[in-house]
Amino acid sequence: MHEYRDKELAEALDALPVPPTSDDFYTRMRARTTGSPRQRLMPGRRLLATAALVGVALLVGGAAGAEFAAPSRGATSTPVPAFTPATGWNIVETNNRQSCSSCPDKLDLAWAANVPFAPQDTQADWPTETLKNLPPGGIVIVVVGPWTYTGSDAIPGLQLPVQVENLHFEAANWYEGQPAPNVSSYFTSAHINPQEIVNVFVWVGSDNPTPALKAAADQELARLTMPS
Amino acid sequence: MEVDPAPIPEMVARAQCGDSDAFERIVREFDRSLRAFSHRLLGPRWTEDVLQEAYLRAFRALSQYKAERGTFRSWLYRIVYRCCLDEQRRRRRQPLVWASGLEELPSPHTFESAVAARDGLWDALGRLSAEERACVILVDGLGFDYESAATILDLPRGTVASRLNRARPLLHRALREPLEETKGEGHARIP
Repeated sequence: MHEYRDKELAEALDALPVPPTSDDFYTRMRARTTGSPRQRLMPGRRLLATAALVGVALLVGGAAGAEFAAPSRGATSTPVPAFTPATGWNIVETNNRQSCSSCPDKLDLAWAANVPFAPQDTQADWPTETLKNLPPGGIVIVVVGPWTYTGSDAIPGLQLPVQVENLHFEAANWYEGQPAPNVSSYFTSAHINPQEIVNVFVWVGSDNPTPALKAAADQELARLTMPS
Repeated sequence: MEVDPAPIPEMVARAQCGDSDAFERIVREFDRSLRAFSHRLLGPRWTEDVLQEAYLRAFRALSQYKAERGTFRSWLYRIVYRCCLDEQRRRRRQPLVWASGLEELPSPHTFESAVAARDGLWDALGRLSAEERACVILVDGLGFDYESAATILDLPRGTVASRLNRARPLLHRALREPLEETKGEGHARIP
């Protein structure tokens, strides 16, 4: 099947006008989308959950002893996804839900990379610049969540250790969110408990990741700890 | 594409958690092409309310989006497409400018943009079925590949190709010939 884009029609269609956005379009949209599409925990359950989180945090906090100087951001006293420090890997963690009381919907993030994070990324919410400049052999891992999932799709439970072979793969020829031409991506969503899921993203600086590169990513993923 | 794709996965994740600012940011990035898509699809039926409805529907269904199934952009296009079809059905009893049957074809000049743009092309678009029109707009107008268009329209890839094969000659003829001369097999002649 010969696939092509008809240039003459493309030009003709391109010449057709596109209606402008009315001044109040986004105001109206905002008014209708205010509030969360997800189910929130009932107050009682939320209190119990918070108590449980704090309890586990105290246990984890007591045992914590990082030997690697990681550019950690935010408080880490509640259990969130985290990478155990390891030589040759940089990690960044946030605990937005606890440290940012004015933005309860901000997500927790854990990053790991075998390259230095771009300085501007360590103050941002996403390693955008690091990914844009990911060299061959570079690996960046981002874990987002946990967050409450209310969709109807069957989402698998998270199997630890996460391994890239079990994730959805997007080769570096074009995919949504592709940060740079040579960067391939692995991705999954997985439940960590009946209500909540996490997203795991792995980017590698290769259009055809080698077994060695995948093994290196797996080794770091093996150091990922999740709240139970 | 006008999209800076870098923050999309994170924005989607945030929006799925109820962050309406993140959702608005995504919408703003895709809005112009979705506006073009829906406008060319609905013609005179188009109002901005169609997009409002589509975006609200998308926001409410955010938790159902899964990246493994396709891009967020395709998912959003699919919702807009369905809203456009709903809009078409809703207004079926009202006088139509664009329709597949002769009995439903009033003057093309009732569509204000047709005067400003190219009457022949607008009219020819109106003579296509919604599926054919959507295929042309997505592939030729907006640069989607066949596979992506098939995903958005929930059609087999081969059907997208056949819809294009049928639609393109009609549109080419409309671009080259005076309006009154335009006619095609199974299509209505302009009264």
